[in-house]
Amino acid sequence: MQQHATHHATSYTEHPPERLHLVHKLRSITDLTAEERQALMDLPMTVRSYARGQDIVREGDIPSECCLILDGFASRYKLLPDGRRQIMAFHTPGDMPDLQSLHIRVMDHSVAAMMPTKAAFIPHKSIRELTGRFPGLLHAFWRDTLIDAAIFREWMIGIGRRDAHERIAHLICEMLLRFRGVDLAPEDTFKIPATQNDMADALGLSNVHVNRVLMDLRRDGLITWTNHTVSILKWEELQVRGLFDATYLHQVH
Amino acid sequence: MPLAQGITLAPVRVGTDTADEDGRLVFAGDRLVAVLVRLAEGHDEAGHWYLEHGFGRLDVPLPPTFSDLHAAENWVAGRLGSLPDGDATPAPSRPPFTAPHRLP
Repeated sequence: MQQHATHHATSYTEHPPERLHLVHKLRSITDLTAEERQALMDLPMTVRSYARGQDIVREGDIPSECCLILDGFASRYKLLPDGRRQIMAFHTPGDMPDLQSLHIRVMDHSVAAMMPTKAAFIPHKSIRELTGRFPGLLHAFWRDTLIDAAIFREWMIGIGRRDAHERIAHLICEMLLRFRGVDLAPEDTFKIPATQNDMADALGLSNVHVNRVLMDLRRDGLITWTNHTVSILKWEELQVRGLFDATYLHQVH
Repeated sequence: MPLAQGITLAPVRVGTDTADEDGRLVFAGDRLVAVLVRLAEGHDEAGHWYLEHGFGRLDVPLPPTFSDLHAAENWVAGRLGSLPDGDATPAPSRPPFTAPHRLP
């Protein structure tokens, strides 16, 4: 079986070093044994590259593989018929934004690259085999999905009830902890390629409000944001500003 | 409401807690229908007019920005005059992903 899969899809032989981010990601939310970590590293995958704005998976698709962000940054979004866009999630390296496609056949939203992004595609079949052999990883993916839902709940509160300052501060706090989870936030600094439009579409704000809040946060010395790089200067204050409580991320490491 | 009647603008200072203070109250006849502010330095579209708040049909999910007051008046008149009740959504002022507003 294994041999057949390998021969059938010759491209599923790549072992990009960035696949380690998947191990980091899952390790940040659960405990993994050495065998489980190795099995994740051994997953067959094929790597594709995307430009900013390019869809990785599209609403209506029926995927036969899950994508893993290796390098770059992605968002999940949905468009209304007239083009209005809601971004529902941001995804760092190590995330599998369409993990749900393993059990939900049709994509009900799209995933797009927000900067030049490298994504690895892992056949559903391989993930099923993996989780069959390692029930601990089945639980890890399930836990990841539940945390995904917890993040959606928190975004819903943001859009519904947090004011613009709280919303933006909260998002920056969340992204710091998620980048830390995959060891990509040295000195509380991380790359986020979002434009004002992206932020506005993620948070239900206008460009103007996003810009006003960011000017305030910079003026108050809480963050810097230059060349798509965010640095958190006053972590405690930023959390207070965003009414941020990290419990919903359920990070254990 | 008789919508074809004239749109008039009245200068006002708007307490946005930002430098975007120079504003206009927008009246359709004697009804206040919107508040515009001129975007100050620090915005990508500094000098343009932003729909700070719209009432009724002008209460849209993606508040637009206008290059000048004339464009704003046209938009206000168009929405008040031509749209059926209940349609309070303009086409987005920008297409997804392609707009140039990068964060600093």
